[in-house]
Amino acid sequence: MQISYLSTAEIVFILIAAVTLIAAIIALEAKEIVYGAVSLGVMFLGIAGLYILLDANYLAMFQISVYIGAVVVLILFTIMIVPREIWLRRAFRITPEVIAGILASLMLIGSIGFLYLLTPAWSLTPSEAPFDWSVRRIAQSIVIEYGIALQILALVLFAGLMGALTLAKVEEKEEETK
Amino acid sequence: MIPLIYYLIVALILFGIGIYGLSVKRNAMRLLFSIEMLMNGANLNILAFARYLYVPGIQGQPIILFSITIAAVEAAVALAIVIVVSRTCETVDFHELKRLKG
Repeated sequence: MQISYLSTAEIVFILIAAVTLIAAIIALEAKEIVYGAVSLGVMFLGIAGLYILLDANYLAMFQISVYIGAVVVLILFTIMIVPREIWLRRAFRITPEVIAGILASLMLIGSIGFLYLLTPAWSLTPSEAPFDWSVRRIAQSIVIEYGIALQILALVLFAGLMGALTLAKVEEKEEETK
Repeated sequence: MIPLIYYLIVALILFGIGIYGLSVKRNAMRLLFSIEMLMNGANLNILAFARYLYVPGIQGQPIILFSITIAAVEAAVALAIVIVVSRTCETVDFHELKRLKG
């Protein structure tokens, strides 16, 4: 790959990918957990940018509204609710288990990346055939082709939220015995 | 246009970072971050393949919508568990939780 032939789309892609991956590492290694949560939000934004590059605008909007609007805010509220002394604050140190973890993930990346290079998929470019990518088409697909899955998903959502509420509820008897 | 392998490599590295966090970190919240990274890497992989099919279609996008919804539910339940554990055990270090140890 020669630098002089980089197109605009490629430069944008490389910038977004770099921001995404660096934010992911900072989210895991930041000393304060709040900085980690904010960095996780930056990572979600980067993924949304990659979705836009893949012509999935509605999905990018959904990613931003669900992940940054709901998950990151929920994480920040949890960090505020739980007392500050409880969070482990630990600077990054090289310990044997860190080295083992890095080696394990590098072996995973290396082996799967090697398999990618063996397949012809690496040179695929998207077909230029015109296609309807609109929200209307996605909605038809969800309701008509995946209708049953949508219903079951609603049940899963309900069950999960009820479970979360029941778990997090403060039990009065427990408070009295204290 | 951008070749498919770029997206696959970004998704793979994101997945690898998630695996690293899941195997090394002890803080419950960091484990949740790692799981979110794994799910995002998998979603990106699915969407890249769906976009680069020979016959372009919408098929990949509803599946990723469902996956994002499931991830949100899972995050809500995991955060509730973190709150309960921090209240009852006074720690969020998952290596310290030995109440159910046999």
